[in-house]
Amino acid sequence: MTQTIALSASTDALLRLLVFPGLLFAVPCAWFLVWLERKAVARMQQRIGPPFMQPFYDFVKLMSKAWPRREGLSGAIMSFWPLLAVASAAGAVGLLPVLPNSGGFAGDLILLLALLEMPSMCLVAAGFSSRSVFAEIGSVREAILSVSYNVVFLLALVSIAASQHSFRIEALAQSSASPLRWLGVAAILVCLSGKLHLNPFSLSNAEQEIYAGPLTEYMGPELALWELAHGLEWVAATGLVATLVVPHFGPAWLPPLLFVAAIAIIVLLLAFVAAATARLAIDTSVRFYSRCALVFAAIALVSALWIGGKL
Amino acid sequence: MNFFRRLVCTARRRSPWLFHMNSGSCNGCDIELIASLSPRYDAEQLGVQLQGSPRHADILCVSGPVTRNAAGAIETVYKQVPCPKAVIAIGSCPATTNVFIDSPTLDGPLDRHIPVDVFVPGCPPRPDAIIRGIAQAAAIVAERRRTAEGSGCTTEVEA
Amino acid sequence: MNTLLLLIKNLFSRPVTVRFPAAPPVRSGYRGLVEYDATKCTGCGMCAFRCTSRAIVFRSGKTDFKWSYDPAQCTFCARCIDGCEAGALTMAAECPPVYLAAGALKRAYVTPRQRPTPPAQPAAPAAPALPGTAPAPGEAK
Repeated sequence: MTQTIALSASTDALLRLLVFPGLLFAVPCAWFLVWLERKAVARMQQRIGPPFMQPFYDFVKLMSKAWPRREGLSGAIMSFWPLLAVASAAGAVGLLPVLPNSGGFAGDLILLLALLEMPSMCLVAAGFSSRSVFAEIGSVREAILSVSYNVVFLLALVSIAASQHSFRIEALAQSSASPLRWLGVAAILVCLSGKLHLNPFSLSNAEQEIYAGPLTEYMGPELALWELAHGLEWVAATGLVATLVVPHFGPAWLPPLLFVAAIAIIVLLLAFVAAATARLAIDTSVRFYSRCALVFAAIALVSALWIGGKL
Repeated sequence: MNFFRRLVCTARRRSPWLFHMNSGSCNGCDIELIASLSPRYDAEQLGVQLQGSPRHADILCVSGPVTRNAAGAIETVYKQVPCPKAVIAIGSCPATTNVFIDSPTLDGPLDRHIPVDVFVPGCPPRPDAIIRGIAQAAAIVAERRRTAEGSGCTTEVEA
Repeated sequence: MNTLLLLIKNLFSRPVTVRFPAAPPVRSGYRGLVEYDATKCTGCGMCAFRCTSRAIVFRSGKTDFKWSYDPAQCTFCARCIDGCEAGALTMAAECPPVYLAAGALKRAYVTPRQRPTPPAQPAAPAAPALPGTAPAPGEAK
């Protein structure tokens, strides 16, 4: 009996990872979000922008190049990072509760945050394993930026979760809104620009300065996987914010529709900020995020104590 | 199998990623190339993206008459572009060395070093001419195979 | 704030992009290709002398002369046009086209040399002066 339950649970997890809302569903979503962001930025700049199928064509073109033959263990490690990035981003998307009552387990928020963090870590590691000066500089910048925005990101999510006394995403999605939640969502949106390498925090892929940053030595299908991981990161990060924003009420078809609408609005907002700003240097970005973290930490602490009744 | 072949050809034609290299140019052609990405001409409507690394690009755009110092660099960068690839010579300088025809510091027009597929003449060429050249080069890349002979295409990773 | 309002306005208005393959029109007076009129050319070779980039090559022979022009070598400075006394060269407001093979745009014209047409006979010569009248001063005898 327990064996069949375990089997069905694992097939259920596999379906969530690979089909819905996992890879099969998330990959076209990723392409759609990447296209939406590029088109929105282009329209804001009075340009036409890429056609609808553009991210798909980019992916197919990159996959059609030859897989580079790299020698030895260092070559194998270099080829490993894009695979890990795609796998962890797909896992992060798989954990999102797109439909109501889609299960989940206690503590899956922590797993989601860990999986969401992996693509940035893979980028940093990939730059260092590339044996290229430009890649190393890009990795250093990405690492510093990651540390600075993660303080705000994790603080916001943990304070939201702690105020609900639950680390289960499903519970967070179904609970009622509060001022602390909206504050947390605002803080997360500020961090998303850094996480998704958009202006003003697009430091790690600064072209013409450090060639292509950490990905300078990657080519062909490896680059296709990196772009795919980036797209899946878009889906997972915006999906997480949409989960926190969209209430689970009404008929069964309403929450997914609102989910999609919320994601589209978040993408437009991020594109708006990206089109309006220029790239900030590393010291300015770190200073910005540290001030953000300080302010938010103070507010979160005070409100957590207040809600907890200690104040 | 024919379906996949046609899909790959379409994808290569509609997603030309460029890498720009200046081999001693006066920067007039470089400015016009950047202008072709500006809102008035918008090369991105064809899916063009200017990449930061030659390993990410399909099409190498070279401007400038090839100076002696730049000749080795051009050949190295050409080998780093993964196959299938194409080369565009932007401006009259890489095609024929233009006014610098008698200069002792030059090493000939571009096709003395790497095979050139599309020439975009002009001094400097207009941005719409550059975009037409990019569209031609994308069509050429679409019909090329991954390990084309004669362009140094192997699956080895060049250092 | 201005930037944000501008971006919102741009999002809801038409893009200014010229859609490929259309191109913005070339204005008159644009420095473009050099046009050669073989009927007016006198074969002086001044254009080849003045050319800054050896785009114009002039070969003179006994019975004909050859004038060739390579738009890919040209820098559109118009020194040849300014130096042409016969008015055989003009500048067209037209860009050289994209081409695929080296040297594909070069054009050569061979013009056969013609005997110059003699000048028209003048009107009947003035009547000779009657003997006895004084010759004009300064006239040699």
